[in-house]
Amino acid sequence: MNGAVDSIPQHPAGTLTADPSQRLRTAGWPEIRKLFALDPGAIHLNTGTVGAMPHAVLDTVDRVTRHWAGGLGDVYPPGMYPDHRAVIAKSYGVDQDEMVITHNATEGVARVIHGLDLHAGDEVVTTTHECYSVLSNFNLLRNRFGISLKTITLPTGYDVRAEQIIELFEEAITPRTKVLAFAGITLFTGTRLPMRALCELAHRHGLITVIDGALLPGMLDLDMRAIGADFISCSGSKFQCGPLGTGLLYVRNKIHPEYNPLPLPTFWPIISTWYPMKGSPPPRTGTSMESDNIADYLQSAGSASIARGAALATACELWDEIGRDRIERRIMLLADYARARVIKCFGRDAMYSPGADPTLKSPLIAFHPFRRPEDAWNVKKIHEYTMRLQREHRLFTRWTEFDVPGSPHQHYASRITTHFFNNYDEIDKAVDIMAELAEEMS
Amino acid sequence: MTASILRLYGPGPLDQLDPVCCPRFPIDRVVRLFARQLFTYRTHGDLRNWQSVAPTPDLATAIPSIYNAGMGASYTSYVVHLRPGVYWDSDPVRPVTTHDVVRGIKRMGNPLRRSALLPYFTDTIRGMARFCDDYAAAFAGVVPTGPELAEYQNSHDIPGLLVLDDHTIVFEIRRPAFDFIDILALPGASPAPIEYDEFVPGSLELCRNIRSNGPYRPVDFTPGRTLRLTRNRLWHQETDPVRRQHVDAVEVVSEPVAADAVAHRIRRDRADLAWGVRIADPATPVDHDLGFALDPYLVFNTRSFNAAGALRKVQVRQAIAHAIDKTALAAELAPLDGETITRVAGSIVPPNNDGHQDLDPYSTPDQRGDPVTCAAMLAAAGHPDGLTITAIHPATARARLVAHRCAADLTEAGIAVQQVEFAESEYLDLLADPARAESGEWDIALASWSPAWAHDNGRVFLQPLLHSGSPANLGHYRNPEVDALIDRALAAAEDRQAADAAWRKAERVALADAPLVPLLFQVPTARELCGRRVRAAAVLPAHGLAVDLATVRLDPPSTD
Repeated sequence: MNGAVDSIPQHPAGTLTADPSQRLRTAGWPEIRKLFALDPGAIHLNTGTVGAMPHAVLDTVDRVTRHWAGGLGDVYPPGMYPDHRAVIAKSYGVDQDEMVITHNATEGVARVIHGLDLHAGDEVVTTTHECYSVLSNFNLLRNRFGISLKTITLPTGYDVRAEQIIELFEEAITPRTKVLAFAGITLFTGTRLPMRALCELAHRHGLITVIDGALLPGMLDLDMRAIGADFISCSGSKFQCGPLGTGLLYVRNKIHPEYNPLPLPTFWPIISTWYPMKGSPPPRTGTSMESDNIADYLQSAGSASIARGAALATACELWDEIGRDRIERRIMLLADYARARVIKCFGRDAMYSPGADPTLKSPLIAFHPFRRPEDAWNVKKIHEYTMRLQREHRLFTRWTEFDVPGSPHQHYASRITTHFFNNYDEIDKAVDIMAELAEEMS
Repeated sequence: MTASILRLYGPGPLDQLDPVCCPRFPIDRVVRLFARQLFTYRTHGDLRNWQSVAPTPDLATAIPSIYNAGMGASYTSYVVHLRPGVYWDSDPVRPVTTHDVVRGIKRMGNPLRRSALLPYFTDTIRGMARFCDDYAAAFAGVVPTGPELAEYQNSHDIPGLLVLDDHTIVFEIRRPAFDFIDILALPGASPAPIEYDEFVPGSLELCRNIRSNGPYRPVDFTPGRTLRLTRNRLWHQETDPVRRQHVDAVEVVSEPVAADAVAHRIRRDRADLAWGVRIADPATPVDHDLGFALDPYLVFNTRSFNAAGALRKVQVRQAIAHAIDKTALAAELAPLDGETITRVAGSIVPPNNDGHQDLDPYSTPDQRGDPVTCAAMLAAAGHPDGLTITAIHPATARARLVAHRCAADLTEAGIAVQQVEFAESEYLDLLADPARAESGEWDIALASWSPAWAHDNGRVFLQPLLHSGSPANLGHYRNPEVDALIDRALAAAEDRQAADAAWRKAERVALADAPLVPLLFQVPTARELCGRRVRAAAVLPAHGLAVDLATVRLDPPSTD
């Protein structure tokens, strides 16, 4: 590890995690649901915005915060989270030198975007369905350096296929293109983009790949390296159910040609305490062995919330205990069920989320709940619908807004998200409530 | 108790009150008292503060943004919520609704009285250009009544205006336009009550049936002479973040008098502010870096067949552009213009406005004009014996001076100038009528143009003055390349560099055609002269730095 201070033994509280039972691997879902601090009177179908924290995560936040209150120890080494990062990195198929614990996906993606070595005239291809944090930061680069930003509007609807999306990206690439930036799963329509295929497309054109992976960890049994991207910025508080104010950032730091044969991109780790104050870091590796710990540069950014990092690690360990493959299957089964129920109640044409192409499906399901097509661009109505679900039924969903190809309107959709703590009964109940209210409001 | 009455006096036009006909300085000053917009500008003590030129919510509750769900990432959809508790002074009393907003926007498209700023809207709001084209076509060759116009408006929609309910409207625009809120702050976009459906826009009947949603309401209007506004009892301060109701009444008296006479009256406390003439008060300097106005300029009637169609020829217009002694003009205007910064103009976009470039393709030594070159160029263009042209100007002392100065310069170059003077409102009507331009009623006209807003204002000169079909393109100049460059600049709003490049090129290409002759750039450096009773006289950049009548306070009447 790079460092200006001697590392000290980790205080146990710094790495305290809940006591995940070995039983969790085989425990039933009703039992696993009890791990979460869920409001028994509410239905939580909004993990796409924020997950529900397990009790163990809450406990860790509380315990570690209390331990470090008073500032009697050197807070900087534990704030580098070396052990947590190693554990988390392993969960996602990468190494500690490639994994950073950030404050959230926005911070991660902003640090990536502003660390790219882009200049006037360089072009970034992305989509209009990106999180504002992506579009906003690239626009800042446009204003600051004169880069060019080309945005694709992704197709929507049940019958969208992966080939359409890949084709749109391919058509948008020009000789000036330097970066492909896209969401792993879009927050507006829940479209799971063909990440591997888009990365291969980028490899063929020699492009840097930046993935907004806010929704990925905790949902998918991910091998981040196998995706082939250069950067993946994730939330720790959505599907991974860590505390608010946590995120993960994968930065490719070695070359595994089978996943991404391109050289490591020039990258400036902005906001760093440990970036050399004189001279330069060692040259970046050209092999599968790292020459420098890029994640340490990014992780070293002054004092950190030791408790939140520890709690995120707790959540990740809990997921490992339950089994990430098992979690992904459960989430997708619930999502398939919810999707079918939505289609039955609202019709296939109401769907903004894909369904026909299994590779594009995610547990985020966006649809038009009202009878009149023109209500799809009535922000007031969808807002009131969402608020009434919340106020009158304690059903937590959200509305999203996005462009639709060929439509002059900004479309608004109702979006539900299933996580493994949900169950079939509450999905049934939720969809029934939504259908009834939509009918009333139609 | 004696009523406090704010008195305006001067030679400015007072021909009508319909907001849809704005901007017409100084009418817009009083329109602000009774016609509110979705967004407007507030007075600010420090004109160098960006908030002094930034739009602020008026009838709207907030400026739409990503953060209040007022717009999406595409920046082409604006959700506007109306402030509750704002009423028309109608009988029965009714709240201002989104239907009134739509009516106001649609009225701008009426084929009889179109705002000079209409292209800002037709270029921006989805489907509005088509609406206006169809509207004009529907009444081609006929003189419609008010109800017939209303019937058309009420039975045809503008696709980009989506009324969600009485309180919320969505504006869908064709492409991102970062000045869209400024566009909606223009007086022409004021909501209109249903009563206006009875009248022809801009008609005397309408002016006598104005409905107010602002702090004052017109109660007595004699076109061309007097206007009296009194307090609107249905206006409530808590619903209006920018206006006040300090004075009991506002009176405007319009008379064809010289600036000296107006100043005299103000100094003798027989008037409080000038109407339609700028009288600077050197004792109240205004510190700012706001954009200059193009004031004045000459515009050629490029449709005129007079003098064998001479002014249709680029070479003739270029020749005339060489003739004017701009330095002398600036010197002659100096005593009239008082505390202003004046610069000789060579380009169309003045300094301190987006896209200004230091151009002067027809410069002459010391900007003194070059009648010899002008005459030689005329000869080369097939007019060796000179020309005879009709030059028109409004009947104000300042315009008269400019017109005479220009006519003298042209005469020296061998051009016989027949000068015709019109009352100001008559003059504006003449210039607004394409048929009268086509018939050759005039060849050269005197005009001026001020920026309608002060930031992100790349379009405010070139689009209205140069784009074919723009009502403010008085000489009906048409160059497809210029049109295409303007369109390209507007479409490139997201790419500032590309937009700037297109604007600059549009100006250069147009100047090569010499559709107009920029004469001077001007910007005031002092507040206008106020009577001694006037307190809290804050200026509005959107009104050319005139005092905002909506916030003026008067000292109590003297008991002497």
